[in-house]
Amino acid sequence: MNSSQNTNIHPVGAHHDEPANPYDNNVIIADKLTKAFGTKTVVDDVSFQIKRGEIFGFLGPNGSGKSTVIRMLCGVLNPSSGGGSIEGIDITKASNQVRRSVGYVSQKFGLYPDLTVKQNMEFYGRVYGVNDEKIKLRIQQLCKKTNLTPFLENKAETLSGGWKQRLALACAILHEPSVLFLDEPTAGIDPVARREVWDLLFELSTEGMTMLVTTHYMDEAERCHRVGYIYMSKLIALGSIDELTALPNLYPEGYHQVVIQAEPTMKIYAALTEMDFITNVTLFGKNIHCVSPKELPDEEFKKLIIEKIEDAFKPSLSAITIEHSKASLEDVFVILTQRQAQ
Amino acid sequence: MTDKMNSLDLAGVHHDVPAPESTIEQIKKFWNEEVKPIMVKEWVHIFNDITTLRIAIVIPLFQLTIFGYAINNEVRNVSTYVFDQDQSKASTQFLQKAEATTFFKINKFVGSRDELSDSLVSGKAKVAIAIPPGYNRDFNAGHSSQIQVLIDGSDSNVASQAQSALQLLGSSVSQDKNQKNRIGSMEQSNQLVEVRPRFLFNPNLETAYLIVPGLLGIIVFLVTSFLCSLSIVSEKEKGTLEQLLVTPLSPLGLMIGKVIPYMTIGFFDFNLSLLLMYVVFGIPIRGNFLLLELAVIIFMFSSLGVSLVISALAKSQTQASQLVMMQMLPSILLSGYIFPFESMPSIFKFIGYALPVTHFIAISRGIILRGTEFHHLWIPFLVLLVYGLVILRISVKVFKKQIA
Repeated sequence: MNSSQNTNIHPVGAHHDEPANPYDNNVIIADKLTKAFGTKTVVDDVSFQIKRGEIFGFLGPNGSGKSTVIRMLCGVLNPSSGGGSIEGIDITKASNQVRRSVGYVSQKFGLYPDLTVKQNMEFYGRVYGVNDEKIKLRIQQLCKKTNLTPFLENKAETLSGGWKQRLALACAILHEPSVLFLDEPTAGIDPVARREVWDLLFELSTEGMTMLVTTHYMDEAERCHRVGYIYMSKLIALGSIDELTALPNLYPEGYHQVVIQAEPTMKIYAALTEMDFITNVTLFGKNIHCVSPKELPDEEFKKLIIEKIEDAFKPSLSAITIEHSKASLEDVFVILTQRQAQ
Repeated sequence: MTDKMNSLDLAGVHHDVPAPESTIEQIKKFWNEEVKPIMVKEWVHIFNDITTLRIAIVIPLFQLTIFGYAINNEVRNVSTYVFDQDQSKASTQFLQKAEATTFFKINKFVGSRDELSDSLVSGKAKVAIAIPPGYNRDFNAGHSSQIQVLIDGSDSNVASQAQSALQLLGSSVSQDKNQKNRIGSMEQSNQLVEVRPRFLFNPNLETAYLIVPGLLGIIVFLVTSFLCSLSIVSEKEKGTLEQLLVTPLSPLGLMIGKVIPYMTIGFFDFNLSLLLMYVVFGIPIRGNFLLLELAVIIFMFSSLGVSLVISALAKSQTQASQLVMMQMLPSILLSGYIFPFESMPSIFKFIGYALPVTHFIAISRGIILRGTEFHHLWIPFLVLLVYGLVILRISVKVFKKQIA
């Protein structure tokens, strides 16, 4: 709590009298958030700030503590130590106020299947204390945004995954929160629906909505303005995609990566994993990513690999392309995770 | 990849022409490849689901002990009040003989006829014996004398057994006396002591009087606890509970909002059942109707509190309904609803008293059948109220803990 970030946390209500004050733009602040259940620490010293209108990707394996961080930031769960704020409101002191300024979309959608689209929206509006007139207006606005109008009188259970997702989003922002938490919002929906949900998120972002999104999809993570990666309850990486992939110490000193394309890919991949001198081999479709052994220059590494492959697959081998590559986001996380686990 | 595809196809071709197998081998194969995998998986499921496993073990144990021990059609220890106007050797002898049957348990001697009938209205006694003055004198003189007995007819089973026990008692006392007198006068073998039972509240000893007012409690209990716990657990399953928790709703608001509709339904069901009771079974409400309504409202607090605890503990609707059924069993068998409370072993009496429905049944029978007034019912009322408050408090705690 004595960190320099502490100055970013504003006392409760400090900004309520002066809403025009553009308080240093950090809408979501987590400051050394820690949560322990008994002796098990599920969130350990997690700190980050999210600026207004930013889409922050929150990544990490299941059970790493993402949901617990979100629940603490929503004011549902009290942190064991550390703290945070939403729009300058202390999450530990005014959880009720925090909940009013936050919207939440869960993986399970949180819709009532036997209620109609309209009834679902009305219900969530009332739960947040929005008056009936305002609810009517908001339903109109949100229907325009999400194209839900033709389904208004349909039961939620009749909607497909993508439409359910939009309805969940509409329900979550009906009370006009300035912050939106999305916990794996696109799990299990098809690519077209995913694209549409993301288009909506970008639209909201340009309107000033600040968002924290958890996802397992790397392509979604790459759409975020910034990402944080949490592993074994610790935040182990934080920054924009470019910053992360350009991390100088991503590969330990003296290592680098090449990408190989060659047929038959599967057999070559299998052979490469057998070769002891290669530090790491990963397959991405037709691309094989290989991390070099220590202190082996790029050109020599490439030459060595080509030799080995040609030796083994000469008759059936198609053309080989091999080039130096930057780490992908997934590489970054795999490498960071492996290093942390050691 | 194409190589692989080919080999797969080939494998498929081989499969189509299986070598001829003997029946035993076919059965073996069927067992090993079809039955066994499913069976093994099912056992894993069963052992993983501790709640189901517990229920599978507890229910038979429970039923066996309850049916074996608690449920005893042989009625014993029926609460009996006595107005002994004779206070003599003969009257004491009669009463000692009555107690020796173990059917009657003399709980109190009262000093007036009013107190005697009051003991039945309040439900403190099920049998009231009035021994007339001069009983000793008549008895010794060999004159016949009448002992008046009032029996609470609302439990038709106990009442009819009481009747036969009393008549048996009367003739046995007479016979003893006759045997002693036999040397004197042989021809005087008539009934010396005549026990005259009269049934109060249910003169025709109809079974409906026993079942229906008790059933009201069971119905309310079942409907409210079932519906309410299932509805909360279904929100858990759908993920809407998780959604509600991030809203400004407080757990208390959520709980009360959830409970009120089911209380309304329970209240409606109760009144519908009362109407049917009157129209179909012809059982009127003798006592204060409003008091009865008050009782059911207080009662529902505890039954809904229990359902909230269940819904906090259960992970799925299946588990929730298993848990509801599990508390249904003692509520039906140990509450005095069907089987008389008096003749149960004390451990089961204790369990019975620990169930809210027991106290509600006592109130509903009292008000409906005997017209019992509040001053005789304040104890079960108080118990229900305390129960309701305690269970609600616990359920709020459990609920909050569950969702945090």
